[in-house]
Amino acid sequence: MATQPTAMIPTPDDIKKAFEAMELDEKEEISPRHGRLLRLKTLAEVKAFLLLDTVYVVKVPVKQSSKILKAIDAVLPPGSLANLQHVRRFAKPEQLPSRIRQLIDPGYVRPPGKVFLSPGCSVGNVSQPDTVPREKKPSQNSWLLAAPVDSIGEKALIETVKQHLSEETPEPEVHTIQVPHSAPSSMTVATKLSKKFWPTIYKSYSPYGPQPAEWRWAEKELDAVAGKHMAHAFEAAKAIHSLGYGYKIGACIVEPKTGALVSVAGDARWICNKDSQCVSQSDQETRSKGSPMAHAVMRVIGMVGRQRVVMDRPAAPPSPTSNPINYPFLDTALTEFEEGHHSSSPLVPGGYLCTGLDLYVTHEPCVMCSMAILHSRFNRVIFGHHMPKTGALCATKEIKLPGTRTKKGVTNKNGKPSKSHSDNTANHETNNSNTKENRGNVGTGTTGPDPQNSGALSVQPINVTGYQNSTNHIKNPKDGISSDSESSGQSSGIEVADADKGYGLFHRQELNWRMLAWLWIDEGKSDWVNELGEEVSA
Amino acid sequence: MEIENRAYHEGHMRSALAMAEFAITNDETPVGCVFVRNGEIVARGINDTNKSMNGTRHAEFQALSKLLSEDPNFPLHETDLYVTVEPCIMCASALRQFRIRAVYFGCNNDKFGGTGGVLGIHTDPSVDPTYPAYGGIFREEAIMLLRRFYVQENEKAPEPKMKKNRVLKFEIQPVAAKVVIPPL
Repeated sequence: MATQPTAMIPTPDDIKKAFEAMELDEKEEISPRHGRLLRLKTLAEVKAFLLLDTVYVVKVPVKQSSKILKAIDAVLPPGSLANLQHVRRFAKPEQLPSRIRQLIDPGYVRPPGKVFLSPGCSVGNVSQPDTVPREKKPSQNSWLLAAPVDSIGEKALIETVKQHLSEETPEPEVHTIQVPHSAPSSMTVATKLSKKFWPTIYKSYSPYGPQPAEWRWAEKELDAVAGKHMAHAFEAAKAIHSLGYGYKIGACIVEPKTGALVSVAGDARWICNKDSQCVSQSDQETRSKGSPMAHAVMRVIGMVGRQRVVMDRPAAPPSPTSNPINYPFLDTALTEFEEGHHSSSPLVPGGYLCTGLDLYVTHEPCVMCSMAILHSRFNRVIFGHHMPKTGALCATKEIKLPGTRTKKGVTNKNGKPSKSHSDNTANHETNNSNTKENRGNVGTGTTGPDPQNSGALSVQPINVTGYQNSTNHIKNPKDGISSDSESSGQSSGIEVADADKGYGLFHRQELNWRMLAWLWIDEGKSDWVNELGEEVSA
Repeated sequence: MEIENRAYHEGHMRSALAMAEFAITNDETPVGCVFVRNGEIVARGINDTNKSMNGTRHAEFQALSKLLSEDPNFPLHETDLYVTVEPCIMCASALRQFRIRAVYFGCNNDKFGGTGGVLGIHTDPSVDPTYPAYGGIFREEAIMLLRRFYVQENEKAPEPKMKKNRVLKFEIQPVAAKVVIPPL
């Protein structure tokens, strides 16, 4: 017992060894970066919210609503409502956006003592507190979204409704309004659309690209490892830049099943010949462009091809010795850091291009690199800095990070402190929004006509001001949206002008390959800075 | 777009077609190209994606790599490209970043064409200068080369398709008005 304490005291030699071991560890293990993933929006999703459908709405007594609905649906051509599954068929006047209510129901007076839901409460099936005793209620009316205007004539519609109204009831009121053409992609968007157009339902299904479940499934895996792999891409960037070969851009390819690095490469665009000489710093124009073939993404993809050739065709001749760096493709290791990850390939023979692999890159790839990523059939891409002028993965030029301040200085409810340089743009969902989605699912399981359920529709207190417009028809749907964002001083967070759209190449229906892509939001050390000019293609 | 001095361009496109023929004998997708400066062919290329196991090694990149490995400062801004199939989005962007002078191509690439087939990378707003692209030079020949290649079976595909019943078709539809694909 007495000897134990002395044995616990480390000798100076032990301490020295421990420090050496720590240094060794530091060299081998790159500490992961801290941050989170932000899902990219697809171009289809960005475009969809510019489209509105014109529909008839008709005022019907609540008591007859069910019969009238059945009668209308019976006379509509089949499939007329197929594209309107995301809008409620019934809305009570108090559930309408105030702008719409002023247009179609100007005589509406809020019943005394009616309690509205609190702002945070937007869940579907929460029934509203009914403070007015049932027997004292005046005759209740509801607005029925009858049909798209091109599916039925106004006269035919009125006739159909009239059949179910008593004779003393006046002529049914019919209006045309505009509703979003496409289903909302998230609960947040659904709430915005409900406030602006008509009560809208979010289902955990996206018609514009990857499904919420796909995103979540992937994030479950990537959240834990993305920081580590992004750190490797960043180290590759630092290594190549310190040699003066190119910008501080780096990329790495990961085999996700084992987490093994397949290849690592930095940007080498300033190398201008077979002897690894570089463009002089004074030659600014050549320097800013450099050789596009040596972009980090092109290089790192090239390295995978070389590994596959060695693996699948051992007889194939190795790269020519006269040009060991394979200029201008430069798809061999150029730095010690790149070399360090080339000794053994985790790839298995018989694979095809980069199928099943993940790509990490410090900057949003340019058009060329983005398409190279598609051609290579990557599974998933995670990139660091968004490049609004040259990047091609994002569908919007500006990305609003969740929790950033808007121009008005309003901070999002559940947001983290701002790290963004951009604001007032399309609201991207993060993986943090899972809770929101789940909340959305609660009340939105129903589809199609459901007058009973519509009574319990979620409505937030409508406080959209600035709608002085009292015309009966919104002629230009785009004007209809933008006038709001200007006059109320708040962005709708929905519309994106054509000039502000990006290519969104990671997921486009018309192209040969689609994948998942995230923006990496770094929350680590201050060394994470975009040193590239905005005109530089990464 | 009407192409001036068509006979001149057809001459160079014949050279590009010859490269595509060469590609077919090498088990590569029959796309061939030539780069032309001052009326002279300065580089030739064929697709190399199968041999290199790299989906980015398109004919344009192969020819460019030959040009640049010999002269890294080759004046591409005075050089034209003749390619049998419309450059893809990747190549269209690379050519723009390399400041190519003009692109002449045979048939459109409606799967991932970057100079009008799917996107207009050559003229879209960008930090790099635009370049003109002219299509339709020996379009039928370019299409027939592709058809001859794609009736074959591809053992390297992840799920090889049995193509025993495929027949080589010879009739070619005239160029139709461009169909804009709506977002879903």
